Amino acid sequence: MATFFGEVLDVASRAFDADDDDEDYEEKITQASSPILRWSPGIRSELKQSQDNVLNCSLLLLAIGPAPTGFVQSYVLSEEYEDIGVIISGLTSKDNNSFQQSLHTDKSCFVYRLKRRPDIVVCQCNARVSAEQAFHWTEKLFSNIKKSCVVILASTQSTEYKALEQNQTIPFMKCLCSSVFTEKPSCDYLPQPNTVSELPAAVLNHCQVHSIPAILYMAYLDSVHIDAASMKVFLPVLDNTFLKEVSKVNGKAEKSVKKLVELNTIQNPLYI
Amino acid sequence: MYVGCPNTPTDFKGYTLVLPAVSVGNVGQLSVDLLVTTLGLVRVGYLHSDCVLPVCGNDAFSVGKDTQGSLVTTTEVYYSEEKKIVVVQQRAPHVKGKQNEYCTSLIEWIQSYQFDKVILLTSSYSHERLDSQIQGGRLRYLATTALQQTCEDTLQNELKWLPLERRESVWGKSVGDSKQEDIPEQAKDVFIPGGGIAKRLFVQGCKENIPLAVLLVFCAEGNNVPDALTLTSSLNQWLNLLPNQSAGTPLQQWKMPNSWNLLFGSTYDQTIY
Repeated sequence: MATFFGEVLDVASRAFDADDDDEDYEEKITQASSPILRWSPGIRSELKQSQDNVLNCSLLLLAIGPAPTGFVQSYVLSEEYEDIGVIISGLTSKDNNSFQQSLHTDKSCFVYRLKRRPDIVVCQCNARVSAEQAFHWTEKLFSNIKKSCVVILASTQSTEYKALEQNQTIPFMKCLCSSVFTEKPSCDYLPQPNTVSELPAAVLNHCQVHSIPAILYMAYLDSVHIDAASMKVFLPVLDNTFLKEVSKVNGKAEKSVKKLVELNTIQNPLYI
Repeated sequence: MYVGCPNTPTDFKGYTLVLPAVSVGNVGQLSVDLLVTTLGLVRVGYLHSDCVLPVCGNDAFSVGKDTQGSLVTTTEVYYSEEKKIVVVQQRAPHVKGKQNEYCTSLIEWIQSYQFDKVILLTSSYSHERLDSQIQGGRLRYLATTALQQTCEDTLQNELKWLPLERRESVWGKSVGDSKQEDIPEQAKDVFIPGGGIAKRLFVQGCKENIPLAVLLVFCAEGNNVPDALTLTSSLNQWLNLLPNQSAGTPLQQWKMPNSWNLLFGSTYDQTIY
C-alpha cells in the first residue's frame, strides 16, 4: 500500500496473520510444555477408590490473576487448608520452577482443599497461562473433577471495557454464566460487545459445552499492582450458596489484604 | 470436535453448511452474524476444539435493548430446520500452526454429518488484485468438482458469478515442486491472500471430494459492514434464504446484532478537551 509520502508499507490485517500462510510454521511451534497435572498421594488414593476416577467436589473456585488470588487467599483460604495438587504449563528448557511461586519464571498453579469443607476445591492461578495452552489446561483440571458448580474469578484492565457511557466507578465487577447455572448472580451481566478471552474464557466455554453450572466474575481494575480495593471488589461473590458459611468477613481477612498489598509494594519500589 | 446440544439431530443430510474463515476485514464472520440474526437461527451445538483461541461473551445475537445472560462461546453452530441450513460462527483466530489440524477435523465432521453442500465465506486483500480484477464486481467463487456437478449451472449461468482467476506462482515451478504435485488439478494455482484457511480447506475439500464452494469479496481493512452486506446478499441470491428478496436495499434486508455496537471502540470523555 502506498502512503501519502510515496513509501510502500506492508498492510497488516486485524483478522489475518500473514505468517499463517507459511506451511513450515507447524514445525516451528514453540516447544513450551503442555500442561501437567499432579495430585498429592492422598488424592491419588482417593481417586483410585472412587467410582469413575472423580474427586468428590461440590464447588470448584478458580482464581486467575493477582487480585483474584489475593482475594481468595484472604477471604476463603483464611482457615486451614491442604495442598492437593499442582498444574504446570508453559515451561521451557530455560525456566526454573520454585514450586512456591516466588520466581518470575514460575508456571505452577496450585490446587487446595479446605480441611473443614473438603468438598470445596480452590485453584489459585497466579502464573500466566497462555491462550494457546488454556484449552488443554482446562481439560487437565476437569479430568478428575466433574459436574460440580464452578466459580471463576478473573480481572483485567478497565480500559478493556467498552461502553457507551463511561460512568462506572472503578473497580467494578461484571459476570457471565453458563446456561445451566441457576443461582442469581451477585452483579450485572457483562454487556455486549465486551468479551472475555484466554484462560477464564476457556474454563467457562468448557463448562458451557459440558453443561456444568459455572459463573465467571470479571473485575475491571485501574491499577496495575494489586491494592485493597481491587481485592475487595470480589466481596459480593461470597454470597454464593457454598461460600456463605465458609468465609467470614473478619479482622484476619483485613490483615491478610494489607499484608498482600505491602508485599506487592515492596517488590515495586519505583513508584512510592 | 462437534458437541451437539441435547435433543438435536445426529446428522444434517440435505442441509447446506455455511462457515466463515477468519480473513481480512472479518467479512465472513460479519456475514454469518447477519445470517444468524436475520434468520433467527437456533444454536444446535459447538465446535469444541483446541485449534481456536478461547473467547466468550454475552448474548451476541440480541437485537434492541434485550440483554439476557446467555453465554456465547468461541465457535458455535446454528441451524434452521425449515430452511435446511447450518451456520458456524467462529469468533477467534486459530492457534498458530493448528490450521491444518482444524481443516482436517472440519472435513471429518462434514463427512460424518453428511452435509449436502458446504459454503465457505471469506475475503481477500483488494490490493492484491490483478489488473483484470480491479474493475467490475468484487465477488468471486471457487467450487470443487463435486459441487460443480450440481451447482455450476446456477452459479455461472443464472447468477453470472465470476470464478476466481488462477494465479501462477511468479517464482516458477522449481520451488516447492513436491508440494505442488500433492495438490489436485482443480486446486492448482489458487491464490487467496488474506483469506485465512480458505485455500487450505479448498485443497483438502478437493482431495476428499467434498461439495465445497468458497465465496469471497475483495476488500481492505476498515469499516467492513458494506462488504459483509454484499457477501450475504450474494449468498442469499443463491440460497434464497429471505422470503422476499427484492424488498429493500441490503441494509434494510439484514438485521444487525447488538454485538456490533461500538465496533470501533468506546466513546471517550469529551471533557478532556
